[in-house]
Amino acid sequence: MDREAALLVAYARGDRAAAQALVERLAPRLVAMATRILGDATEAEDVTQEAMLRLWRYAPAWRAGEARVSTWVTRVALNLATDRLRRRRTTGLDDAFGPAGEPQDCRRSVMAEMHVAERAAALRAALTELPERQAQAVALRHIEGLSNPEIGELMGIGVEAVESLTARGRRALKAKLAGRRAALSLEDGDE
Amino acid sequence: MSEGKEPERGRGQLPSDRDDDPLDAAFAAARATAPAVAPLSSDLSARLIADALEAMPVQSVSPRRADHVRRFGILSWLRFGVSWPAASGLAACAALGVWVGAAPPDFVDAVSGSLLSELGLEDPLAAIRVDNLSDAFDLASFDE
Repeated sequence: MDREAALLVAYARGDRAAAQALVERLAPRLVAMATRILGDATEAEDVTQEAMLRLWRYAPAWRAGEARVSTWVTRVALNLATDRLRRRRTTGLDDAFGPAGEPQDCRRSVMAEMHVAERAAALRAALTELPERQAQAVALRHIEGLSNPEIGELMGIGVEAVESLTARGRRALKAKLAGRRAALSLEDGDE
Repeated sequence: MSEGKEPERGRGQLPSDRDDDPLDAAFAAARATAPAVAPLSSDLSARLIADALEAMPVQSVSPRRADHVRRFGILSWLRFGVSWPAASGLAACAALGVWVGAAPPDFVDAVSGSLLSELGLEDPLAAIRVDNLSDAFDLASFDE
């Protein structure tokens, strides 16, 4: 039994210290992952709280060897984050790059930061238009930096399927972002 | 590598963020949003712990309560001023009570009988006393 599973069993038996330890071990990574996917710290905290709450409620039914606790709760947080991302569809790519967002008179460093934020916003907007599994695989591979076997474990699929999902996801994202090349260009400050 | 699939890379080996590839630049921008592990705010930490305690299937035993049980449990008497002779006396009294209840001496019967007669009651257990049972059954009948 891995350490987190042992802590979860202890929590289910009424051990407060185990709850504290699980929060310290699991929550920081969940917040970071959700922040990178959603680009919003407040939403990321909400996702983390909901994922951890589901873990607490599932604790009495947890069976050793079923899965790793960290994998289980990360999968829940990933699903919650992508669900929220997809609910933003109404924003769309054009809104993410709307004229109001174009800087006019800023210093070069500030412009660079804004370009980075714009690129990230455009990517997230494009991700909302992908099929959910493609969006998850691409986010885990290219934003979270997980290996294909790790993604396969999280999503409950084989490595081949992960490779296929990420490849199709990348192609779809390229097509969606093709019209925004100028905005995504690194030649910041030249506009 | 089969067509349409991405080559496998290990953890941390991200696709290069080529300046000429807007998609990879966008991925890099998203990664820059937050560090690998974000520190928890005190507010979030408090909310998570509160949720955990509220959802806890077994109510936890607080350290204060556990200490109380340890201090005032039976065995702890011996640690806190009750000597072995006193504990032995208590055990002897308990044993005497059991004995008197199971096989009362004659004087107990005499006292309880006089009390019952003064109250105008009959001894309800008289019929099942061991000494009366010997009269009720002819044990010799079992010899056949």
